[in-house]
Amino acid sequence: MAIIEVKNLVKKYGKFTAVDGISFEVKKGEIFGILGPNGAGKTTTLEMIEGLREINSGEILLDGINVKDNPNDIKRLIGIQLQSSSFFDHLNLKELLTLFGSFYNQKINPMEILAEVELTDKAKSTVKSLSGGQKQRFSIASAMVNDPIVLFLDEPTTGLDPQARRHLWNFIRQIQKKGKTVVLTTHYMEEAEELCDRIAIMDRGKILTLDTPENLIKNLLKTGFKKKKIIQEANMEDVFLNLTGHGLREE
Amino acid sequence: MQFGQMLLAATKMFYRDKRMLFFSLFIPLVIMSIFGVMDFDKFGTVKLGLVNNQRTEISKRFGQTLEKIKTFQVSQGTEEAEKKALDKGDRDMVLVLPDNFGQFNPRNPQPQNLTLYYNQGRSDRVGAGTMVLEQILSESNFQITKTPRLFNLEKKSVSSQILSYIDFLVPGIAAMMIMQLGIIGVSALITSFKEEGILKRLRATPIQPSIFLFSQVFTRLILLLAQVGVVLVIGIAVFKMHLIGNPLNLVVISILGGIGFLSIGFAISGIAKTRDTAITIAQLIQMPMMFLSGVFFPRESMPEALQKITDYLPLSYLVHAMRELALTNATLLTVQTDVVALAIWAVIGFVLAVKFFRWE
Repeated sequence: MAIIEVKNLVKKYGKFTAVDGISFEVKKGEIFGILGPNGAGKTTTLEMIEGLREINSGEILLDGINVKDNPNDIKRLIGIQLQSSSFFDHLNLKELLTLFGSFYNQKINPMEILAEVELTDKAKSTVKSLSGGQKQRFSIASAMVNDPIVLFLDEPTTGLDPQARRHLWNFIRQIQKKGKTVVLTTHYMEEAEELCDRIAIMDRGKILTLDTPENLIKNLLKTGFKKKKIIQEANMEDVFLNLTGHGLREE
Repeated sequence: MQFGQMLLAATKMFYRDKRMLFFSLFIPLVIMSIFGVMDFDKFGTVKLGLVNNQRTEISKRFGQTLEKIKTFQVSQGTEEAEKKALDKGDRDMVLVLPDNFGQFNPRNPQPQNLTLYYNQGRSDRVGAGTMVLEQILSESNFQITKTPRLFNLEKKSVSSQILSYIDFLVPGIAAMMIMQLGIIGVSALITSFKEEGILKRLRATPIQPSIFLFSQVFTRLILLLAQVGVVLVIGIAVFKMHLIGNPLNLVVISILGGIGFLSIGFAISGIAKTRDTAITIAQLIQMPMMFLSGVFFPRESMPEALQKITDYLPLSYLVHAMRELALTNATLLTVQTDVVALAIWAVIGFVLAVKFFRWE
């Protein structure tokens, strides 16, 4: 069952077409990845689905609700982690979550949410004092104060070390297990392959292909594609993680 | 109530922002303490030479009135002797009363000319002294001519009360605090929200950014009023400032001035893209006003041309109104010029804010 339906979506900035008539569906409960080089239109697409950016033409339905006509209803149903989001300087994590709860006119239990993202002992710290991975986890926590049905993550693991990245993947899988749908963008192919149930690859405002990672690889091999290098059983990341371990580091 | 959560958060943010607290409360208190400890009144005494032949009853009374005023250290003598003393620097100003001072032809009263010689090098004292003289003369005017009062303008003898420098200073500092909160406080706050992407993050939630900003600005306005109160109370309790007027009038004029400066702050946050630019623009506007609007010394001591231009600064109106309302029995009606002018500034600021303010 589709929780998000995108039909012929177009976004233009002057003469430049950022999103050029794309259509796709996101199924309920899946982790859906949007891949593509910088400027491909990933963030613009996400922000239109989230109701943050005006839609030039086309239609988006989220849980059956038209985004263009009801942007505020949509905001109650979704949680958004922006590419670079920052928080108020002089409030600690607990106070920030309480404040964000008030934006939804909801009384929340900040400690419960902090426990879910393993930041209980940082409740009295400010965001500035957190490590990169902790910051991203808190950013996701702030997107979950309203118990959203769809969670949007814009490049959630950019800038994290391999351990923190893997930790965040587990964390995102747990969110999925609670029945939530996750839509994310990424630059890391490995992340897309490991984490995403289905992937859309975008370039120049269009979707080039959309399928499961396995099918995408299979289809490529069918065309007779061969890697020039000899296929190795391990790569540098395996070497690195083998030496340093999978354990999460908190600086 | 959830709006309460936002006000609570805004309060915490304001009081944990040590830099803002430093500028908004600590600095004004320090300025007041420095000037309060120094015996400025002695320094500020105006040495007035009076040439008075005491030919009339009125001139006698006038001389006695002047003697009673703390601003003046009055010496009497002949015109020649007093002018000599002025040349040597022993007098700041010399007032020459005509022999027929206060005697008017009832059928055809002609204004009398009093001559005032003054030392140009002491413009601050001359300015303060002239102000007091003018006030006394305009009061005598009523008494002598017995003109029926067309307006029941409550001209109180500010002269005998305004004499302490701390009395003069504290209302000025209060006005300065209000200006700073509005201009630099608001523009630095909003531009830093914009710069850090906080406003965008808010747009990802159902809250209207305007409601959030309102909660922030509203909280700050209330906290600022409390701080102005703290400065006034310390001024009265520690430095023996005289608060004569009704404090409620001060609250009203503070809010009116606050709204005007807030909208200027919003306009700056629209023009400036970063917090640093906003602070620079804000300082460029604030610094000249601080010195040209009579916060620290009487504006009368400035060159007349400069006075005429700076009359129109919003801080000039606020300082004047605050001073009148704090140190005299003036009401909002008495300072209606200031009230109207501040309202006009609020409208100008609002129009600029609407024109320039952007959410992103």
